[in-house]
Amino acid sequence: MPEGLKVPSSISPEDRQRLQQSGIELSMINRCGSYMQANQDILHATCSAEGIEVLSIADALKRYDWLEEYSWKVIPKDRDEFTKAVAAQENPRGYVIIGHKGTKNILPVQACLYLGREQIQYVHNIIIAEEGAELHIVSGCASGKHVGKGGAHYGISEFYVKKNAKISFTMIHTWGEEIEVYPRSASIVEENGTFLSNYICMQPVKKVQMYPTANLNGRNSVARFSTVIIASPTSYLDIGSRAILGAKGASAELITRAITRGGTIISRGEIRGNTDGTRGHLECKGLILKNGIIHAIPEIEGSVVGTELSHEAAVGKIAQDEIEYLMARGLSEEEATATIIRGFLDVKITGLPEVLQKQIDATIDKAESGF
Amino acid sequence: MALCSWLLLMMTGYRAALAAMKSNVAPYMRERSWVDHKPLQGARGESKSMGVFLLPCAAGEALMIPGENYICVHMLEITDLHVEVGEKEILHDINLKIGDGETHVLMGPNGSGKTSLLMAIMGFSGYKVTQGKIMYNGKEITHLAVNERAKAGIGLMFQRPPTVGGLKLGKLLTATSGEPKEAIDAYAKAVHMLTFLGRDVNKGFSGGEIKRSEILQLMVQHPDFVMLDEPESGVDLENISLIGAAIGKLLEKDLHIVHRKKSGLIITHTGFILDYLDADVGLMMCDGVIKCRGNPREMLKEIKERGYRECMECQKV
Repeated sequence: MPEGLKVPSSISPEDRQRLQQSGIELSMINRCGSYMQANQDILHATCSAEGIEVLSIADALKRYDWLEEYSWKVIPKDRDEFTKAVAAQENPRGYVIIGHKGTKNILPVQACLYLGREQIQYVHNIIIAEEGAELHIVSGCASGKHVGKGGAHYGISEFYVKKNAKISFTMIHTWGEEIEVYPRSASIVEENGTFLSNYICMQPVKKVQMYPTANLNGRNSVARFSTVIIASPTSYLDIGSRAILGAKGASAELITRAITRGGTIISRGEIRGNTDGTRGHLECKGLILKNGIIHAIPEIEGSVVGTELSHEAAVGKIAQDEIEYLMARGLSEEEATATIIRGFLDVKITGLPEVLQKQIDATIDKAESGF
Repeated sequence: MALCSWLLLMMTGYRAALAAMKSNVAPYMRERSWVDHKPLQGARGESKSMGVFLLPCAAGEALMIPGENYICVHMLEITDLHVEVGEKEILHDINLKIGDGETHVLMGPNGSGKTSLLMAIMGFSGYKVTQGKIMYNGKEITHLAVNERAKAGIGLMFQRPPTVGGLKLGKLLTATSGEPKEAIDAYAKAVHMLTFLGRDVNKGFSGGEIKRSEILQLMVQHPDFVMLDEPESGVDLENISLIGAAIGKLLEKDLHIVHRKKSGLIITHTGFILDYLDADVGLMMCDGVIKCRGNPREMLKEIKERGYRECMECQKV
């Protein structure tokens, strides 16, 4: 039995629950390693699995000189005010996860980022899957229930998927109504590499703005972005994903399910086909449950013969015939509506370990029961 | 006890049965709710101290006592029903009675209003009842919510059900039945749908698969009144017997007429269903009106020979 996660006693039971809701196993069962950062304090960075390292970024940079080659390379320091602010930190915080050559472990590493005070949390992460390695990460980000105005999270994540390697990164957000969140992430995927990025945000948050990019530089590389978001009345979610198909055989799939219960969602997506023999599909489906905004901006840009790109976007309400179909089986209108919404949010991600798919399903189930 | 009352009624005539019922009434008696406007709780098993009882019609109808104390109630009783779809009246003055254990087949040309009648009985919002009423087991359901009708025992097999993305068939069956997984699996196996339980409801299903999925949903639901909208359309020959048998079971056609309580209203163009179960009554619908009522096989034969032309002229209701 692994020992439990080092959670400070100042974190209330209620907030512990919020962490669990974000995919963090406090017992560390079913997790092969853990990183925990509360505010700017790193409390935990361990991994019991052979071939996988979980380190704080400061330790990792000390231990491995070569890591400089990966730091601020796929995301430039001066990209925007948020990257600049993280780069300006004297004592950088964040984690480095390395899956060494050929390592495969289907149990995920968990990274817990907890904000317990009205302050800005700065995080810089580097995740590397070396040749043939397979890494699964669940990143649970949560704030204390009562953290008020001024709380923010700036998170930089750089992903490197080497030849024949695979990274799945599942980020679950449970922020508060006053928190602003600016993740900045990008990945480079080499030959036959696979990058799966899943993002789930079902709880109220003031603002999330992000537009992660996957650079598919290697032949037959694959990227899949799956996004499930719900905007509460006070939430503003500007969320996108981008794939650049830069080598023959590269393919990308960007899937979004968005629901507004009164808040605003800007759902962006972009696929660029710069090489022949590439494929990309972008899909955004939105449900408006209460008057709010879902603004889908799908973009596809093909620049050579032999790239096939498509997009599909739909925004609407729940179909009455579906509700009544289920009512004809005996479900009440409320049950039928909830059942259809749960179905709408159902995203099955190819290549994701069962434990993570279950985690995603459980997170959605829990939020969905509130409809 | 219920059976006893009926057997007595059948074998010894109504006077003996009457005596038996007075002391032993409950299961087959129904409260006369539509007379005194008191809602019925459940379909059966109600009695009233006043001494006015409702008896199921159907098989025993001929033996009914034309007295004050006992009134025969059909499972479904539609009176003077007018229905609008999109502000256009499409069903006019529909009168229909279906008793316990009876199966009626509804025939008629495309667009004559058959599906609309089923949808109106089920209570779909696009089908607005402007006049008349629908009684189910002595209780008015004209304006009841769809799920309340389903709970009361009405089941509908859709001709073209919608796809519900992300909802697994198995999950839907569990949600509607509350039966354990093993029981649901057994039903699914019987209609060759076991491998579909993990698939989204109706998504990418073929014509025959949709019918089997619909039948399966009804099997799990255990309706007393079964409405089937063209159960044979799009089904291959091999599956037709499977579906026919499943429908027969739904309608308790394997039971003796005395024990049979489930009733049905089936829309059919081909009459294939008649090869698997005996229907009691044939109904012919034309231009939103039920024009004929008669022997289903004879009516089908007539249609095959002369088309629906006769329908326009027939007034035998």
